[in-house]
Amino acid sequence: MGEILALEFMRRALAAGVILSTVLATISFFVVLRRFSFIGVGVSHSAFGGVALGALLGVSPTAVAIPFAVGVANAIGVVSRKGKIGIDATIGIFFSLAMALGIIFIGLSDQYNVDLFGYLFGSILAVTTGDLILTAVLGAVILGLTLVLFKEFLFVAFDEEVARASGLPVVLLDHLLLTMLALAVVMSIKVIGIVLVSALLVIPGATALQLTRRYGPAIVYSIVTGLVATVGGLFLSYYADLASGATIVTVASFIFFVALLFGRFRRRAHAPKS
Amino acid sequence: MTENKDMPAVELRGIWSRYDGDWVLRNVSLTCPMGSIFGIVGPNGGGKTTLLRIILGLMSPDRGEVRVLGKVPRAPDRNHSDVGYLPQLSLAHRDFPVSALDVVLMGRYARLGILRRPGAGDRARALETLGLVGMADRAERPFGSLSGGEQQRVSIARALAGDPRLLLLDEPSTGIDAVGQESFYRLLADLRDRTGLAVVMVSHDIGVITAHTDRIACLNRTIHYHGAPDGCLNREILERTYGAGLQVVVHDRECPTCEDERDG
Repeated sequence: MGEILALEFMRRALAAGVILSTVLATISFFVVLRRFSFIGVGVSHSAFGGVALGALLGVSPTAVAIPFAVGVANAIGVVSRKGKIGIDATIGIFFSLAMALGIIFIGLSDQYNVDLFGYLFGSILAVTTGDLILTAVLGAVILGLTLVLFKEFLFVAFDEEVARASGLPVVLLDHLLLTMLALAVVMSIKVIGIVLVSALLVIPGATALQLTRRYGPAIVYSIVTGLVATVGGLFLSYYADLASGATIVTVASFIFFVALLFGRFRRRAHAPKS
Repeated sequence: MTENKDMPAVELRGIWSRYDGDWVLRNVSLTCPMGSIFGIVGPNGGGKTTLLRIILGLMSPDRGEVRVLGKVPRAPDRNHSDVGYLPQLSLAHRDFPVSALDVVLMGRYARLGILRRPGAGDRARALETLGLVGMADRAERPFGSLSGGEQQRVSIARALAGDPRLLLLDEPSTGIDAVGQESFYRLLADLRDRTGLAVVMVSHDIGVITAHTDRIACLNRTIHYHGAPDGCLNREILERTYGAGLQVVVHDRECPTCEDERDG
């Protein structure tokens, strides 16, 4: 324990992990309730296009990935609302297009020094002090917005039609949630990786809903799931020398399945006896 | 805009609305005064829900004029706190983490506005409306664990919790048994008399509508009748609204005045 914390990079990775798992878990609650889970998958994979474009232009991949992911998230929102195609088809198209562009950008760039494997699967060595500051700032903005608009997001997720009829700007709130989702994805890429970050947008919220049907405790359980998975996963990845993102997601999934069993058991215990 | 005492709650003039190239509403005009219960009856697919969505400002008609409480409705609009809405019953996803009370509190959000959280006053009002629909003892129960009829009652409480001046109900009696319906319509009549509430409700159930409304419109893409409830209960109007081949089992209760009104 002391040994691990003596390492500068490990301290940075843990600090980033604590912030981003709190943020991802909070968003996860709304992502699951609003049924945006698959959008999270689409947006995180689209970020690959941004990272590759950054590498091609020779600028910070994260700086390019932010507008890229935010743009794709909102484009998915617009097309699925206006278009006559379903949201699953929309995501399928955007996400493969962004990945395809990413591969083209990498082909065009002659630099091979960008750690693409790290971006795809996460690397605890990769977190710089600059990343940590960015994570803290974005995290504070996202958590602040969630706190301020909590009841509005809850209403829209529960009953979009009545929320709209009672005067809530549903379209604006949806785009705000999609933007927050995209920012949370980008700030998590370094530690968890593009391929696996969407798991942390789904698993904490889904786990919490197995355990409670009150929103207060649900948010708490969601954050606890995210924190335990991330911190536990980081330690495990350090000692067992495993990829950080993969370890975190495996721990999170394990927690989910335990919660699933517990939830079934609890429901059976509460069911009326015949 | 100045408040006119005789201002109708809802006024539609010459509404045309198209859906997928098909005219769902053709030249629909109707007026619902304040302090009255207005029923719209007609077959499924006859444009009832479209009409409600236009009144709510969720969609605009292709042609025609809409006035709701003296204004053109347009969602999102902060003034919607004056309108309570009960959509058609759709069962919530079972695990959604809200209690019955949380759902009713949502009916207060439009009054609160963004940033403010529901306070003790809002909770008291929400509990009171839950009491009105006979659900006070279920306040803390998870919404998803309630039966369809109970969820419907909670949704009605949510529509009432914002102290609306106009209540829009889409098939309100779905899932509620006869006794529950009787007390629900008594509650509506009581609110109408005490607070001057206007109610517009749509239903495919002619029996319910004629028994509990002050005025009625028979709608199947266009209005086939507009007047007192008894007046529509004749074979000719029902056949025009619902199509020929309908077995008319209601007793003959024609009202000459209404017939004249309709013909004139």
